[in-house]
Amino acid sequence: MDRPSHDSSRTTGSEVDLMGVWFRRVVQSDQAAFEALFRAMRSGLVNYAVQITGDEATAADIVQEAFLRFWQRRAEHDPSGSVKALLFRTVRNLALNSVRDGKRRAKLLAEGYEPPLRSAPPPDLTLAGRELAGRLREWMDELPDRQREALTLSRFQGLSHEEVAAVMEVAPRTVNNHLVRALRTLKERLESHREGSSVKGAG
Amino acid sequence: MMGGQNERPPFPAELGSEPDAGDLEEVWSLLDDARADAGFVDDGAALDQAWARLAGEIQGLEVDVDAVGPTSPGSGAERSSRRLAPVWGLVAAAAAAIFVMVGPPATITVEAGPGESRSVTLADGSLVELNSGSTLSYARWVTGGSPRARRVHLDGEAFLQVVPGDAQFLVRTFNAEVTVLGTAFNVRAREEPGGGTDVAVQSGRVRLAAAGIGKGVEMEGGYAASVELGATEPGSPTLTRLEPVLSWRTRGFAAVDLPLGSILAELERRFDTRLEVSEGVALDERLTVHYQEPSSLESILRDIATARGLGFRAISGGYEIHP
Repeated sequence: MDRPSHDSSRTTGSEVDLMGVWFRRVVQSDQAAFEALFRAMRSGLVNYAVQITGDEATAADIVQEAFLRFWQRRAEHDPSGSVKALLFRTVRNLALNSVRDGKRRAKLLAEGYEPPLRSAPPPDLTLAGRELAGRLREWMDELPDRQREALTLSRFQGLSHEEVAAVMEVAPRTVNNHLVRALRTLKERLESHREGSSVKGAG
Repeated sequence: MMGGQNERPPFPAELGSEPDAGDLEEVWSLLDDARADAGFVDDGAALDQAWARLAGEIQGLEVDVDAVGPTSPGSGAERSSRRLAPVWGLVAAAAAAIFVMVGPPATITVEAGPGESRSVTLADGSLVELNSGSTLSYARWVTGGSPRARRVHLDGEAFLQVVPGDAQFLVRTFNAEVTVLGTAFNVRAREEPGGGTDVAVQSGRVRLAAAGIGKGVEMEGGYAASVELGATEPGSPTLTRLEPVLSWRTRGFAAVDLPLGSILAELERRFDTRLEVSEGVALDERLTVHYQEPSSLESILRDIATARGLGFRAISGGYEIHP
């Protein structure tokens, strides 16, 4: 039963396994595994930190600091846990600290994060698709912070309910509620948008 | 590739029980085009730069232990292994610490425990990578100086890259002796049923003989030969695919034509786990498994069970394999 090497289109399951393998090796001081983790996770973590800090340079520094701490304390980590949850939680705490240091934490917690700068939608979409993508992003910005954070971690960073719960320091059930509410709100917005478009189209 | 823009997480199973799950899933999939966080995507150069900065900071932290590493500056071996230098430095520091404690002419021992792997740089620049559950020991001279005799003892599995030298390099196992001048090769010495000392040569020329007995075989790159358990001379060298033999170095897993019992013992060492076997499972049946990339214990067990018509279940600290 010779089994060929995996190709690049991995399932989520094997991704999680690979992360676990790297995590174990990092705990054993394997720098090559540390590099692999860094390369696989940096973009997602920087994006997440940008959402909190609103600034890409600060976000990149925070992620750098998070990985440095992760390496320094590698021997203290339990490699059977989720390395994704660990790194996202570290980045979240550092980012919130950075915002607080900028005297913005109170505002953030009371009113919500400042909407981060958005890039243009992917160029390969049709005009209608681009418009819809843009709308969805606007609607996501209008979600309550916790709902948007749970949705971002789950939908765009690929974290499980348990991992999102560990990052946000809430119960998995709460994560579920945030996600359901966020998706329902977006669905309602989508329906009104579609009705509006079809009325315009008919008139 | 991972954690990047192309990752498309599936609709969470937890949401499937909601009455409007269909609506929720529709929005979930539409969000593919609306990544709110698509603003920052690493390009290769930026990522390399960020890694270089981080690696520099890490090495700054560990410069003290790295400084006592035995690798001679500027050697080819060091250049090719710079990326892992701090790790080797740590092992070397540990080895040096042991040496200081026990003093000459004691033996230095480096062990890769279950679930671990280690790399060691010897004083002559030769590199040894140890697989899980393996022990390398050598006399003080290897870190000290005289290159006249280069001799190590191996219990377990290692890949050795021996730099050319005036003296031959000797690897002793429980039942065999492997002598080389300058080469890269894999030695797997397991004293267990179906075990023995298996040698596979990547490059250069290697001589394999049973321990204490002169008669041996010589082989070059691409060939492998074994001294089987209880044998008094090695088998004939055969051309061998090296990829499976060396896959453990990249944390893959392979066992080529090994008895099931040996494969399970290898899995126990690799994954630091306990594998029990209930009656009716034939441990001496041979099979081949090969995972070039890191794979989970569960997926390997599932494949073995499927191939042999067996089942397995989780038990405390491991798994039980049953008919």
